[in-house]
Order: sequence, then structure tokens, then C-alpha cells
Amino acid sequence: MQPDGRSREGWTRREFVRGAASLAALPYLASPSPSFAYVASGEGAVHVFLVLGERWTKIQHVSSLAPACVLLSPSQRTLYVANEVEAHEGLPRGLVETFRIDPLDGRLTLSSRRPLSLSATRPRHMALSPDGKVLAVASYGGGIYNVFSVAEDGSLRQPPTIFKDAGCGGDSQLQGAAHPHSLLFDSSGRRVLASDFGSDRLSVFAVEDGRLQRLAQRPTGRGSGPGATVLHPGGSLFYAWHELESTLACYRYDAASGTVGETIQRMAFPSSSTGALAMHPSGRMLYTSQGVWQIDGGSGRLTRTEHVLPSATQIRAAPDGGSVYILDGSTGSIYQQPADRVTGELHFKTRVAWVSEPKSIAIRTRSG
Amino acid sequence: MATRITRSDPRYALLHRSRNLRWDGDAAEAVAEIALCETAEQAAEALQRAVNAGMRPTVRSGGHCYEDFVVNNPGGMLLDLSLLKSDALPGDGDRYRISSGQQLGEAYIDLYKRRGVTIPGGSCYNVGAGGHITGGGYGVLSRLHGLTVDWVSAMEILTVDKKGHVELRKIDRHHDEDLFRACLGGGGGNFGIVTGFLFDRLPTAPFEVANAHFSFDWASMTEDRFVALLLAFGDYMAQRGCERDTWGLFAALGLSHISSGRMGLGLQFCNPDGRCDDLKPLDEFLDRFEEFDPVERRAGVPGDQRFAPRTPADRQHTGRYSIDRLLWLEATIGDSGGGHSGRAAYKSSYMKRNFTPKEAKCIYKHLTRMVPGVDLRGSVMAVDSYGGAVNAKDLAATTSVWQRSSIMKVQFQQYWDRAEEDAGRLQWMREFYTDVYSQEVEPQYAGTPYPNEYYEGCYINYPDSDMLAYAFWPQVYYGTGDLYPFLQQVKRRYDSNNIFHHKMSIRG
Repeated sequence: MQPDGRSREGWTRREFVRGAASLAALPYLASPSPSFAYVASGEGAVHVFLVLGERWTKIQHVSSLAPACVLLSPSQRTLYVANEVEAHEGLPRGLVETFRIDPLDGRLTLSSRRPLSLSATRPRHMALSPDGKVLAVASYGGGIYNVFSVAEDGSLRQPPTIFKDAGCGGDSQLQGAAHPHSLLFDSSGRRVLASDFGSDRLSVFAVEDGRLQRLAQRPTGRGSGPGATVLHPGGSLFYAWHELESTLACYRYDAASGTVGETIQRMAFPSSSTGALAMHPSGRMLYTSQGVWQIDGGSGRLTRTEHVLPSATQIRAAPDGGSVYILDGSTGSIYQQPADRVTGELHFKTRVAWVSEPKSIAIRTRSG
Repeated sequence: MATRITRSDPRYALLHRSRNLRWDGDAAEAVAEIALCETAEQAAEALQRAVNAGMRPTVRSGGHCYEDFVVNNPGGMLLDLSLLKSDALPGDGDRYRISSGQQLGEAYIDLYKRRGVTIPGGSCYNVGAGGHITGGGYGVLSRLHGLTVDWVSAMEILTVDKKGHVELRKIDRHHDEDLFRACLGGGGGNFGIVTGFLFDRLPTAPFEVANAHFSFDWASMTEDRFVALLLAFGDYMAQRGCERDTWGLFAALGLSHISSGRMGLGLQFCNPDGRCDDLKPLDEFLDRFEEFDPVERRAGVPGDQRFAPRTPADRQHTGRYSIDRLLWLEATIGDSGGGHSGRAAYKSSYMKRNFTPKEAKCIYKHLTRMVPGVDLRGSVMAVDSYGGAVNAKDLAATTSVWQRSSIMKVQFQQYWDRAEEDAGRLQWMREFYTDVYSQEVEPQYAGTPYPNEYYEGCYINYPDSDMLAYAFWPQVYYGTGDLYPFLQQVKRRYDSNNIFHHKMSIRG
């Protein structure tokens, strides 16, 4: 334990030596700049932390309705929160909360609660277009996607457009219906890639006039249950964690045609594995609950590194590549691991905070 | 292929609208497309197209949904079945067919002229059969012959399977029996799109009926007299009305707001054999209201278009009362309403016993309450007779209508024209309803006719979104027994992807 009560865990001697040797080279540690972390907690709150290097100080606790996913606008002035509820105002639908972020002290002020469409229950994941003008929401419970048009001030225009999906998978108990799990925009900002846990498939949608239009579907295998996904910054590799069969797969993605193509690699893990994914901005490293993987930029194939990550419900890489954040839902711990901005290699990890049932994290940099 | 009406089509302006103008104003809530379907195959094609495109489908047969369940469907597809009117299809054999797009008036005429039979449900000519029957099919002949769902033998329904494929099912007691039962009163927009109803047999249409209309002057109506009037009506339904020779009586007490000036009483009667040779039960019923100075009216019950004015072919005086003795089809098809297009709001309840004095006083209080700046003309609490053949207890297990112990069914109605009146009228109506149904219910269910010794909840064909404020709303509409869990099971089995949904649809 450190004198300030923070712990450093999981070091191998080799990691320690390597980490120590590189400390001086990390601008992140040499000159810590304050930023803010927004952590969704299953206890019904968003916690706001002032982040100074490894020193996290909780500065605000904002009530929120079952927050499952937090997302920052490109301007970093708005925080969107997907509220994973079965019903809102007596109707079967979830909602999205919008918070204004104080540019100076990072604190949140609730500005709106926007209901989703009917049947859009238990929203768990969101994606924002690169220009910040379109917010897509995946509702796991109701099998439906909602798309909001975002105003200049970050507010969401009502009502959202919808894409009501249908499908089923190989597990009759868990996959009796479509369950949109994760979604992301490709670099064009005009296409959304989505994984559907319930239907064993990946979909590519075009965003036209604020509506989703399915361009292609890609089966992931009966009973596979695709979950978390991440797109390589090069734009042509797409990684997905298949929850039910505990496999990690890399697919070819053709941005021009909007199709998910061949499976480049598929690796199986023990069935108890959790499935968080994050990509280093360099595109050279993939972080998963099963380990840290070096990415072959040409083929997309993964090679395991020696680094091990704790069990994670979510992993997120800082946009500048200088850190990786890991949320451990089982213990409530939040870890921060400095990363090499060029290679994505990780160094020691530090438990920087604890919140009850951490679900999702967003990091606001000072420059925002 | 169904006819596609999109925003660029001149017909869209009319066809996307709701009959209830409360749901007619917000373009952002409107559907993207209306698919006019003339056959089940066309409906299947349109539905598959909607599913493939991720559009939410909603369904309209006659367009009388009280709530915004159908027309408010942003970017979705409205499947309009009003042109789906096949009288018979190959394979029907001797069965009677009613297609979902048929208006009840058309069905009455068709069944009567071809076979001399009728369905017992409905009263308004242009209510569509699809929504009416899937919600139960209650009407003027229900005390005599039960609900329409009590007579349905089979249905054709489009469902969407787990993979998103549309399939046409023919369901009955031996094929998808659970889905069949769920569609017998579970309410429209839940499981699929019913395109046709088949009946092995139907009741013979009455030869003739006696119609009568009276009104009571609010000016002479003290609280005591009002309470006595309600209790007289309710007592008849609770006692004498349970005897079989009265089951041909359908009566509606139209309790309008005092600002309307008068309240109404309308009725239709026939003997169990469908004739009017013995009018003594009718006289006996009317005698109960003599002390309230009824005035014979040639006009209908205020706010209740089921008893709109008509010219009698044959007026007959019986005892102290004048009645219109009409051939049944003439009485049924005359200007029998349902065409109202304006702003409207509705609420409902089933009553298992007579009003209590406490309830009646509460009703009086609200019907005589003047709200500054709010015009409450057009506000009616219609107390309809119920029971008789409907209350055959065994039918609760074979249909999805569980209300088989009630003697009256209450429908709160309001009609007006201007949007500026919405807030004041709706607030008065909510306060009225909440107060009435806080008199004889447990505190935790206050404001609702939650099933108990007095009430049997609400009618799903008179849906009221206000009830969604109560977490127990499914029990209010579907009872506290095993019906709602059964419907949820059916929902999960036949519509696992919740393709068919609206504010009050069955939660899977």
C-alpha cells in the first residue's frame, strides 16, 4: 500500500523494472495535468473526480437513474448518460440524461432527461458521431436503436428516430430476441457498427437524414452472443468479444461498402471470462479482460503480451494514449495504468478510486 | 402489394390523421408511411417490409382507438386494414367471416342479409371489426348473447417469428390455442395483425327491438334525487336485471355535466326470442324512473351517439311510455354514430354491484361542480347495463375477458373541439375519476377501480393512458388472476421481439 492509501497491484518483477525504467520518460507523470473523470455507478449516480496524475479526488456525486454508459461530447461540454431502466414515466422505455459540464471545475448540472421511444428499454450503450451531431443509443431490453439529432448546444432533439430490430440466437433462454449490445461510428461518421447479443450478428447501418438504415448483417455464429466491440483506428479492422462462447474475434471491415467481412482471427477463452475491450489510439495495442494484445497493423492478428489486466467491466483508453482506465465491477475498483503514447504498452497499475458497481467511465481532458 | 401512402402523396394529409384530434397535431409523431392493405397477403408483405426496415408497425381497422396507440408512431408504418373486407374466402365453408377492415355496420348488414344472424357486440356503425373484436366485442346485444369473442371460432393472424419473418397463422381451439385465447379480448396491437374472424355459428338477429329515450332535468335534481336516480338504475341491474327475461334490455344512463342542462336515459329492448310481444319487463324498468320526471326525448342521450335521433317507422304506446318499435336492422343501422371527429377523452370501469350512496354523492359533486373558465358541456358519465349472458363464468377461462361478474360498465366521455380547452377539461375529468374511485377501494389502489368486491377494473377497448401512472395498471385491465401472466407468456412466445407495441401493450 502507498502512504496515501492507494494500492499498486499485480506487478511482476519484470513489469516493475520496465515500469520504473520508463517513469521518467512519461510526460503524463512528469507533468500531471488536471482532468476530470465521470464514472457511472450502479448505485444510481455519476461520480465526478478531479484527476491529477494518479491522484483522484471525488468532487461531485450526481444522482442518475441506473446509469449504464457515459459519453462526452467532442466539445467536452456535455455528458450523455444512458439510463438502463425498464420504464420511465410509466411507459416501457429508457432515457438519456444530458449534463452540462462546467468548463472550469468540471462539475455536472443536469440539463435534460430525454425519453427514448417505446420499447427502447434498458439502454446500455451509446455512440456519438465524430462531429457530435448524432447520438445513437442501443437498447438492450427492447431490441431497438434510437438516434437523436444533437443541437449546437449539445441538447438532444425529440423525438428520436428508431430502428426496431428483430432476431434471435442459439441460446433460447438468453437469446429469445434481439438485444443490441454495443455500437460505434466508423471514421466517416456516416456508418454505425453494432453488435447484437440476442441475434448473434453484427450490423452495419448507414445514418441518413438522422435515421438508421441497415446496409449489411454479419452472423457471428450460433450462440456466440457478440458484445463489446472496438474499431481499429485504421478503419479496416473490427474486434468483437463474443460473450456466450467467450471468444475474441477480429473481422475485416470495409468502410467503403459498409460490410463486415472475413474473420481474421478467433480465440477462445475460459467461459467465465468477462469481455471488456479498448483500443489504444495508436492502433498498436488492444486491451481486453483476457490480456493485452499487440496488433499486427497489416493483418490485424493479435499477439498476446505478458501484461495482465484485472477483471474488467469496462476498459477505456485516454484519447491521448497516455493512460488506460479499468473498471472492475466485482470490487468497485478503478485502476489507472500509464501507457506509452506511441506503442500503447502499459506500465504499473494503480487503484485510483473506488465506486460501487462502476459501469462506465469518460475522461475529460483539461484542454476541453 | 399494399398501396403505399407517404408524405408526398396528397392522401397522406387525411390518412395519417386520428379521429381523435387530440393526437393529430404533432408532425414529429406521425407515421412515415400508411400501407393500405386489401388482403391478408398485402398486409403480410407490408408488415415484412416494415420489420426489415426497422419500422414500428401499428394497425388500424376503423380508427376508433381512444388513445394515440396507432397514429403516433414516429417514422413508423401504419397498416390500414380499412379496405380489407372480404366477405368470404375459399375454404371458409359454412362459417361466417368478418374481416378486420369491415365496419360493424357493414358486418351487421352483411350477416343479417346473408344469414339472418348478427354479432352481439358494438353499437356504432363505423367502428372497425379488428380492434373491436380483439378487445372483447361488447355491445347492445351482449346481455342477450354475450360478447363477440364468445362466438369466435377461428382467426387469421399475421405474426412475426423470432427471426423476424412474417407468417400467416390460422388459429383456433386446436391450433395455437394460447394465441387464439389471447386474441379473444386481450386487446389489439399486442401479438400480431388479425386479418379475419371466423364463426361456426352466431346468434339469430332479433326480429325487432323497442327503443326509448328519456331525459331528466338537472334543474330539478337535488343531491338526494340524483343519488336516488343512480341507485334506482343500479338496483335494477343488480337485482331484476339478472333475470333472463330482462337480458334483452340494454340501457345507458347518460350522466352529463350540469352545464348540459339534462341527463339522458336510452335503451333498447327485446324479449329473449328477439321479439317485442311482451313489453312488461320494459315497463317495469321504466317505472323505476317515474318519480324523476322523465321527459320523452326524440333525441339521443347527450354525448352518447348510440342513441342518435331517428324517425321511427312504427311508434307504439305501451302503458305510460312511448317507445319506438323497430325492425332490428333498421334500429341498428339507422344513424348509429361513431363518426364523431373532434377532441375526446375516455375512462372506464366495471361495476359488480350497485352504486353506494358515497359514490353517488361523489358523482353528483363533480357533475355539479363548475370550473371557472372551463366549459364542461359534452362531458358524460355513461352507465351501461352489463351482465346477463356475458357473465357466464366459464367463458373467462376460454377467452381473455375476465370481467364476468359485473352488472354495469361505466364509460367516462368528453367531447370538445378546441385545443385550448384540453387542460381544463382533462384536469376536471381526472379529478372526477380519481375521486369516484377512491371511495370504495383500498388506499393503495385509490384512484382506480382496482378489482375488489365493487369493481372489475377497466375495459381494454376504452384504454386510458392516465392509468399508466399506476404500476398495477395491468391488474386493473386484466385482473389479479392468472390472465395477465398468461398474456405475457403468449407475448413472449409469439412476439418475442416486441414488434407490436404501444403504450399499454402487454409487457413480455
